[in-house]
Amino acid sequence: MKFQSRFLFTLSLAGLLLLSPVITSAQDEIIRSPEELLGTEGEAPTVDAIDELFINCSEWDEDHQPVRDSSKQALIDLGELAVPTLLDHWLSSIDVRRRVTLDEIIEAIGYPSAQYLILYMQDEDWYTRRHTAYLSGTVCYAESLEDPLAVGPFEEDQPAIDALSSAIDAEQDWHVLATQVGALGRFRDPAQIDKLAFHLTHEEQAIRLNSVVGLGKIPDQETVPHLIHAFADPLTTVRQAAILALSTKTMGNLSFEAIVGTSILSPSGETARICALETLRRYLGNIATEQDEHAEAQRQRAFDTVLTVIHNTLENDQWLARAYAVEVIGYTYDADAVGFLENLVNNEEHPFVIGKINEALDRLDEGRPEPVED
Amino acid sequence: MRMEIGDAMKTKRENMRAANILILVTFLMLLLPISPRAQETSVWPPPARDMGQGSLTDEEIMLIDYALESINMTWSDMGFRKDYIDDPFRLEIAQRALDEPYFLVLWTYEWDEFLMDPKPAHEILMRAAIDLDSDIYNTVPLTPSGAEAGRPSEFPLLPDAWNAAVADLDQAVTLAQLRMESTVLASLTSDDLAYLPWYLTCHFLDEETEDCPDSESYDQPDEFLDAIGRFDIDACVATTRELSETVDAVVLELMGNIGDATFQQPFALQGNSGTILIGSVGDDVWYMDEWPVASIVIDPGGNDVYYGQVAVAGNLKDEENELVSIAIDLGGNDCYFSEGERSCGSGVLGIAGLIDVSGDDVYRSGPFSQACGLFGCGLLIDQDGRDIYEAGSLVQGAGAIGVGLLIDTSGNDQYKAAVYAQGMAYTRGWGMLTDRDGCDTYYAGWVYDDFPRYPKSTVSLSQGFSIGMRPDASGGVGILHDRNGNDFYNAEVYGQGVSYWYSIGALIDDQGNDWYQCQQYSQGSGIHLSSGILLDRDGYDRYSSQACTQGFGHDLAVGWLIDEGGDDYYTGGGLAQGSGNANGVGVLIDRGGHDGYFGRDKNAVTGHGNLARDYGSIGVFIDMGGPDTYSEELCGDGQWWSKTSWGVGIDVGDDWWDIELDEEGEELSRTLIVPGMSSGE
Repeated sequence: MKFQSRFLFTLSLAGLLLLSPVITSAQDEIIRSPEELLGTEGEAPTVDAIDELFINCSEWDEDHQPVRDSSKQALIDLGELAVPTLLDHWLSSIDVRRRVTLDEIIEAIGYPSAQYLILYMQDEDWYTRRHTAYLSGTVCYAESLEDPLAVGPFEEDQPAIDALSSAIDAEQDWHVLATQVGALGRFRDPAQIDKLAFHLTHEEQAIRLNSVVGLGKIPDQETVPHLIHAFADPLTTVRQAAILALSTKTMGNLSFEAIVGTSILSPSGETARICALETLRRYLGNIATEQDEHAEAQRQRAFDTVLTVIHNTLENDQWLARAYAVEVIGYTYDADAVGFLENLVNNEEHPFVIGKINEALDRLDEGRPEPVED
Repeated sequence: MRMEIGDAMKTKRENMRAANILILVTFLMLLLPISPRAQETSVWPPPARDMGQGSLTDEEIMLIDYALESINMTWSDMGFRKDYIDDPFRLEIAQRALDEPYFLVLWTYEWDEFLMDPKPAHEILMRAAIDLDSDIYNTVPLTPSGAEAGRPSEFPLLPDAWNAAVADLDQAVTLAQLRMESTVLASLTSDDLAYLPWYLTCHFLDEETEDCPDSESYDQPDEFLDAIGRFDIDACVATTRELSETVDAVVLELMGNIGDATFQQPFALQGNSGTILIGSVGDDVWYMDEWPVASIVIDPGGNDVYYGQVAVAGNLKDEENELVSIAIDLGGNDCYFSEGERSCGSGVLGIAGLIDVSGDDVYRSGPFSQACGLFGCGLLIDQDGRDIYEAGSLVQGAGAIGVGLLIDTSGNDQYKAAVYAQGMAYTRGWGMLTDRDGCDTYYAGWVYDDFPRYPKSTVSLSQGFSIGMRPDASGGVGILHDRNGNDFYNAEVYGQGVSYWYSIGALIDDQGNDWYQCQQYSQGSGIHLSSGILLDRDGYDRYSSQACTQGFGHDLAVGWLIDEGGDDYYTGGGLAQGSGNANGVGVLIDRGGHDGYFGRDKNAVTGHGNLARDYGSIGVFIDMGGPDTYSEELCGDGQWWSKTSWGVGIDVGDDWWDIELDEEGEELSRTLIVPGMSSGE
């Protein structure tokens, strides 16, 4: 595919060289609008027309600017009719403009593209396989659902799940494998948790990172221990991904007790405990506008938890845990929080902790954000 | 006689080889702390370096350590994977600067230390070769040897000392020409040599010529990439280095016997290398197109004006130059005018060098000029005077698939260029502009429109900048080094210690109160899997830029800004002053002084990181003390903050220093003690 596009490019260069005076003077006339290219409504678009529309929207120069948006919208409106040609001709392109534009169009078309992507799952070209895996994850049926708690596998996604799972088993290239495991999680299939968790111990950091990202997309209790395990990963990017995954409203709720427990005592060490405290803080931030009993109870539980953490770290050098615990207090909006912090700041020496206390006091002073209607 | 000369040359070569090996060993010893082997055993944080050699201080390293700890990280976390695509042109140091961001700091200090004293071009080239992964001693059996270059020419018209010196130069240029033909360019086919002169012009000049494609694809033509891979840059640099050493010796010899030159009219000689033009001692006006194409030009003095191409080697479309060309002007205030044409050390598929020994000179030329190496090497060495340099694209110390080196030794100079200039590099390229003295001004931009980011903004891609061909080929190493003086740096988009796509861009300014002005992607920034650094070692400086600047890493990239002292002002719109964006790493370290930090987007400056791809970025800001002013309330003297994911800042309080004074109240020593941190931590 790559060779094909390069060959075409070389040919076009040679053509440009030979015919440059003609082409230069005629260039404006070559760019055609979607109306000119697609002809009568209801008529099937030609392959050439689809390609020309794609060129129109993936050339980022001034000449194509007038038809860029309309061409892109025309391709999106064509939907399934455009997908086979677009994938066949452009999925393997490493040109940034082509890739970004193709992603935008395929993502906008969404789930109907999935069946065609399966064909490229085990392509010879590694770049095509990687691009396919990425797009498969973004256009799967599960991604179109509004309910974040909806758990797969969904019937519509099963062919893609099977194809992707097989591709993962066969994959040798770490670039591709990393993208594949990240994409697999988007299908929200609990049956894939073990496969993703297996890759959490992979020596390649990008694969561990994407396994965490993938696990974080599956709203199932089974993912929680694996993600908390990732708090102890030697690399920050993996830990960060686990923090972000577990602090969403959905996953944070599922993992709340485990996070609270890890905040007080982490069997995996201090780094993991700090990750737990940060997760707790981020989760509380994400539910700050919620005022039901459940949310109130979680805020109360978090406040009690970090009081324990602070109490345990006052007499030693664990300034970092103290600072992160203090930060959590700012998100609990507890009635006793201000008094506690004002008392604490008088005895605190460490500038980082003092900064966090002041930040928390400012936040508490502003008050909890107004509830938002769902 | 022939044997004697041959033997003498052989002995000289052997001596040079022994000296070269000795120098190489010394270099390798100097590089030991940053050699690849060190990677296997290195631990983080890295050891503090001797301040005499220049480095971050113990306290700065300790504070970065603390800052990272406070965002639950260590030094090694900054080395998270940033190489998601591979290509055959990746330089080891470009990769390493991403894998171990502190390596970039060490590498920059090493270069600064090396350039602390004046260095001849051949020594700089030897070190450039190391950056280019070019083992110019072991991998390049340069052929033909000196003995094969033929009998040295005799020039009876010249005085004896001049005769010998010019013969030496002629012999060296002849040898270099033969090597260019038989080694450096040997792996390029006749198709390459037909294709490249056309394509290179199109590639670097964008829309300036009519027969080029209107807009180029990101996907580079295979012919171009293949030719880049086959070009023997090792042999090119080695040949240039050797020739440069001879040229230096010849210039000394000619200057030592300058009184012998009494020529009243310019005249031409025929040497083995081609036509040799000799100027008069008076003020000459050279119309170069009225003379035969020269391999060597020597003008002994006078205020000369050169119209047309001087020191131009190799051929673009419709040109017929020698493969190697050297021009030497030994005195006077000279003007080099070649409007729209390349000139003044332009090596395109060739090697060219211009040496101007003294006088206030004006260099005005078109693209591929003023120390441009494109599939070749280009040198411009100005040893004295207040000079003005004006040129187009790929100029003023620019190396693309080659090396460009501009050395200006003294005087208040003015540099102005369109794009790709002033210490700039491209794929398999290395470019340096080093200015040793004077209050200098650097302008780059205002010709090529930028992608519409700001109204009427243009691209500069200059001033310690390097760029690769995304996604096909990594970039090279671009360095702008200014040793002394109060300097003014002015660029638009992409400039001042910046790189794009697996490259290294560095701006090093040692002394003076400097003003850095840019639009975006600037002042110590790495953009898209790349590394950039700005090191300012002294003075009261001003840094101003719209955004994405001042120790900034964007998209799996690394950026450093290190300012060692003085009262400094930093202004940036956002994503500035130690900021990481889209999984980038950005660090700003200011060693002290009464500084001001202004950010229009308060949350995105002074230690900022944001989220992308389901994980974070890293931003580190360190101010080592002094009463400072911030636009953000969270920051202040004696404060330690972390505000975004994952950004951190520390401003050292004056009371954090335990200062030991002598009886007269003079400071003996100072120790940093962070409140709340137990001793020994």
